[in-house]
Amino acid sequence: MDAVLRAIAAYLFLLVVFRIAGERTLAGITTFDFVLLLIIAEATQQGIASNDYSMTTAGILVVTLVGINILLSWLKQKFPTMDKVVEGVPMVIVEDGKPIEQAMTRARVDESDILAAARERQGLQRMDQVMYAVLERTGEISIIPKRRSGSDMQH
Amino acid sequence: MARSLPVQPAVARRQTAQRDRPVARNLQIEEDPGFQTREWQVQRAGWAILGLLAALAALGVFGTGVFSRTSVQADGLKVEYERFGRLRRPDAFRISFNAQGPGQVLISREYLDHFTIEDISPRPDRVEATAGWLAYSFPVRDGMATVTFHLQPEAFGRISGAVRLADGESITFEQFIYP
Repeated sequence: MDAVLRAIAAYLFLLVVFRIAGERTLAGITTFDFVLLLIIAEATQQGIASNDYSMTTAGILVVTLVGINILLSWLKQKFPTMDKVVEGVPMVIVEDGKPIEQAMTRARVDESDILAAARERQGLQRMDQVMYAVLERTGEISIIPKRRSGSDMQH
Repeated sequence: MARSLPVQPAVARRQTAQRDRPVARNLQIEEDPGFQTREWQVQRAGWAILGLLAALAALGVFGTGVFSRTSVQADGLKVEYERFGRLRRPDAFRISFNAQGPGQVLISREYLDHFTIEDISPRPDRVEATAGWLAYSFPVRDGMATVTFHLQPEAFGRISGAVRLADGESITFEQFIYP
């Protein structure tokens, strides 16, 4: 009973904190982000399991956390608003080779991030080769390159 | 509302014409600028709240800090305690008293029921249970003596306690234990 409530509280708390932090916070994970994630995991683990080392508690926690996750994914599917609230919405940040500055500033993405994604995913060299860049809900940047031919709207 | 549009040159032309206002793009994507803007506003407010929480925590609003450590005093008796505690984290609870005769301190039973006593220093010679009180007798010499209880909260919420000397009036205090 206690463990279930703690797991739910921790789940919701982390959901809110990471949602506030924004999807870019731990996207494209760097070494330091990874270390930070481990520390957060450790701190949370202390809170939800306290000093209870039983298999039963571990099982209850796992079942509860996975259960809430399933419930939440069901809710997201059922209610589109819920989906947006929990996961956010994708956003176009480059259009026809032109970065949309306002959106980028507010989403904390800069041109070098977009260029890095363009190099990594599409092997592009310059911004003008990008047709669209989209900041996805995962915090990743997806790149749609321009076609070499004139009909660059085709994909 | 999926902005999925058939791939047509006409769409492309219209789209390039008004680039600053992202309207119908040749992308099947569920953008929602209104929601996005609101999300940013909430996020900015959220950052402020996170910062505020960290600042309050540093000041001791969630336990251990300038806002938390406090004391109450009556003649010949002083109790130092944390105004805010946290579940299952031991805090020092200190009683100073004018030790004349038997160094006996009484703590309300109701209060101690919410805690596990991790340690008492110095160790009491004797503990007696009386109606509503636990009476601790400490080995003391004349003068002001201080004893420290290390108490670990086992329940959360508001907890009130009382301390008194064998013949004195009791002093009461309140604590709040965070879950």
